[in-house]
Amino acid sequence: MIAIKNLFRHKLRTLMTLLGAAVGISAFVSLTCISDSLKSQIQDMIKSYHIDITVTSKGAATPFSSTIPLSTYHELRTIKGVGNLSSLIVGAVNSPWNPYFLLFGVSSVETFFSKLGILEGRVFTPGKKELILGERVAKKLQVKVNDKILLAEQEPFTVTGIYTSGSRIVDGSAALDIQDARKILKKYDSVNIAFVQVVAGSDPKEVVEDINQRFQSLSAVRSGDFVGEIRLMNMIDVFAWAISLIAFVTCCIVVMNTFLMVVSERTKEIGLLMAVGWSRIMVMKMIMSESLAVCFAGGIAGNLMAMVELWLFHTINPEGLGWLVSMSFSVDIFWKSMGLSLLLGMIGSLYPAVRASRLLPAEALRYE
Amino acid sequence: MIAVKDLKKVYDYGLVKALNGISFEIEEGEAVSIMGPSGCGKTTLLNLIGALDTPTAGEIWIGGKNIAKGEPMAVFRAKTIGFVFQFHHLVPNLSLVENVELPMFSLPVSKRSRRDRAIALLKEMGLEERLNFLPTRVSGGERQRAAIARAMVNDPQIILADEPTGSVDTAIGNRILDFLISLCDQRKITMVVATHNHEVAAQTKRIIRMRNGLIENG
Repeated sequence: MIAIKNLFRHKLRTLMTLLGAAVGISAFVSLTCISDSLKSQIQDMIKSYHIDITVTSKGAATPFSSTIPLSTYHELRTIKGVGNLSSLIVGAVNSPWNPYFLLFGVSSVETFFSKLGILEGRVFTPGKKELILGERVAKKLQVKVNDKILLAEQEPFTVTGIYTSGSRIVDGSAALDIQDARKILKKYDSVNIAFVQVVAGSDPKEVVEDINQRFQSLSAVRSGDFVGEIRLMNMIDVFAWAISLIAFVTCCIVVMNTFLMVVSERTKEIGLLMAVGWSRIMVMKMIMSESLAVCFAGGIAGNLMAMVELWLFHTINPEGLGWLVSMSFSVDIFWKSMGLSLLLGMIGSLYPAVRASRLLPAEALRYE
Repeated sequence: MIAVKDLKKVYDYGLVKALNGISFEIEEGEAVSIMGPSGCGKTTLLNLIGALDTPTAGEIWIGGKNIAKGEPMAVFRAKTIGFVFQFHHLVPNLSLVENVELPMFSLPVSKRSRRDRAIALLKEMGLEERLNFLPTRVSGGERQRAAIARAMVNDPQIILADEPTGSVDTAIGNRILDFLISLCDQRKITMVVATHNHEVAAQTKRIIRMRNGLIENG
C-alpha cells in the first residue's frame, strides 16, 4: 500500500517510467506475434493440404529462393514410397496494389484446391490465362469473377474464382497454372517446392531419408517440420528476440535510472524508516514493490500498445506486409510478456533497492 | 538502563573526532538532557545510543545488551527506542495515522491492531480530528505531536529526542516538551533529550553537559 502511494508522489515520472516499460513490452509482444503468426500460417497451410513430405533445395533460406531443377523433380518419382508428387512455383510480383504480391503456380489442381473453399466462380483452366484470387485481395481490389487483372505487365488474366483458405498469406495471393507462373516469374526449368504424398503403407520417415540420401542437393522434411527448416523463419525469430532483448535492456536502464532518483530523493525518509525499525530487507522490498507495480502496469499497457501497433500494421498494410500479420492475440504471449514485465521490474530496481538498503540510518537522516 | 563506557566516534578516517571517550549511566525512567553547543557531539551520541550508527570504540549497554557490536539492530530499534527529531520527518504522502503505523510494520502486528493502536495514540495526543490529514495540512505543533505518537507507538523503553522543540516557536515548544515529559513519566520511559536550549534542559531531572566530544559534568 505504501509502495502504491509512493508511486503517486511524482505522477508524471511514474507515468513516464510506465510508458518506458510499456514500449519495451509492446516491442516484444508485437515482434513475437508477427513471428508466431507467420510460422503458424505456413504450418496451417501445409497441414491443410495433407502433404506428407516437403522438398526444397538444400540451403535455401526461404521457399522463394529454393530451386529444384525439373530433371531432379521428375526423378523424385523413382523413390520407393513416393505416391502423388506435385510442385509449386512461388514468387512475388510488383503489382500496383502490392509490391510483394504473391503468386502460386500449381501443377496439380486436385492437390491444392481440394481443400480450398471456392467462394465464387470456379478453379482456373490450365493454358487459358486464368487465375483465382484470394478473398482478401479480391476484396481489396474490388474484383469480381470474370474481371481481368494485369500481372507484371503480362497479358491480362481472367479471374475465374475467389477462394478462401484460412491462411492469410494464401488469401492475400493469387493462384494460377504452373506454366503461366513460369513465364511471369521466369522459372522455366525449375520449381520451388515439391510436395510428396506417400503411398499407403509406406513410412514417410523412410521416404524422407531416401530422398535426402539420394539427392545431396535437396532437403526433404516431414511437412510438420517444414517451418522449422525455413531459415528465414529462424532468422525472424532471432531478430525478434534480439530486438526484444535490446528493448528489455533499455527499459531496465530506464527503470533503474528512475529508482536511483527515487532513492536519492527519499534518502532522508529511508533513514527515518530505518530509525523506526525497518530492516534492510523491508526497505528493499518497498523499492522493488514500487518498481514491480510500475512494470506490471507497464506490461498491461504494453500489451494494449502492441494490439494497437498490430492493428495499425494490419490496417496501414505497409508494402503489403500487413496482411501477413494475424490480429489474433495469444494468451501464451500475454503471460510471457507479463512475466517479462515483472522480471524487468525486479532487475531494474535491484541495484537501487540494494543501494537504499545499504544506507546508514544516521547518515541518511543527515542527507540534504 | 543505559550505560555508556569510554565511547569514541571519529569520522573521515580520524580527521573529525565527534566523541572522545565518554562514559555515563542513565537510570530506568530517568529524563536526562544532553546539552552543549552545536557540533559538540550530542546528535552523534544520540545516534549511537539509538543504534543508528556504530561507535569507533567503547560500549553502549541498554537493558543488559551491548549494542555497540555492529549487529543488525532494526528489531531492537523498533521494540526499544522511540525517536523524536528536530524536524518531524513525517512521510509527506502518508496521513498522520499511516505515519504513526510505520514503526509497527517491522513487528508481527496485524493490520487491524496497527490501525487501532495508531488511532488510540493520536487521540491521546489530541489529534482525533486530524487522523487522515496529510502532514502538510496540519500545523507544526500537530506534526510534532504526531511524530511523538510515532515514537511511542511500540511502547519503547527509551525515547531519544534530538532538539524536539527546535522547529516550532517557544510557546508550542514548551507545550510539546511538557507533553513529552509527562508521557514518559506516566509510562516510566527513559528519556534522553539533546538540546542547546537551557530552558528545555531545565525541564529534565539531570543535565549532561558536553563540549568538544567530552562530558563536562554528568
